[in-house]
Amino acid sequence: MKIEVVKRFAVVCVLSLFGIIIITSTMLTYSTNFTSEISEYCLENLSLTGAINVVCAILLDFRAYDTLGEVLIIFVTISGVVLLAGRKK
Amino acid sequence: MTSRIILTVTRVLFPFILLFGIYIIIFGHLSPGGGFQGGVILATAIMLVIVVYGHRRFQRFVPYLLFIEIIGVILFILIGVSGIASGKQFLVNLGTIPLLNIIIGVKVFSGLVLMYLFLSKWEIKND
Repeated sequence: MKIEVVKRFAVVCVLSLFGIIIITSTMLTYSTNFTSEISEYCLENLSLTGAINVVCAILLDFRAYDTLGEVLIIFVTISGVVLLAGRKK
Repeated sequence: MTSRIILTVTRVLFPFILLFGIYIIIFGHLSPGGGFQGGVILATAIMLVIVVYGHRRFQRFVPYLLFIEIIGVILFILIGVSGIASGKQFLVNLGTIPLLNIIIGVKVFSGLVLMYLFLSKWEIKND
């Protein structure tokens, strides 16, 4: 009986802590000003890339090395899956 | 056994999901979206068909998907090297953003379908 109460209290504490963290981080995120020199640079030189979509321009022009790493990560993941799960039973 | 409702809905929805994924990939540099997102949408279309019709009759496509995956990586790096060949840095933008989007889309599509096909081999038999 007592253990059940303690368990429920612990669960409630953990969940409320999680909720408080989520709410405060969201409010902090919305109240912080993220505009820096880099974002202004990306917006000003957007016409040089030939793309209208800013996210796409950053992914494939300003930060193309990042995308190369992403592609290689997917490739390595597939290699691991083929190696581990691709053998015949 | 899959019911007739699921079969019919899959048959109706499948081309539209494919069309939406291709649209997201090709218009990636003009509207929200891009290669990765469109590739995932294409992969969900194929996954729907695999879930409905069973994975056994799709296992023979595994070598072709692996081939597409490897070709995608090689093409991405070749486009990067073409920047060096033109006298600038590696992966410099020569108007190749749509091309890179298409390559990433095809690669992500084949990769996710491959993962699903390999992992669905280990299903638990409920018969």
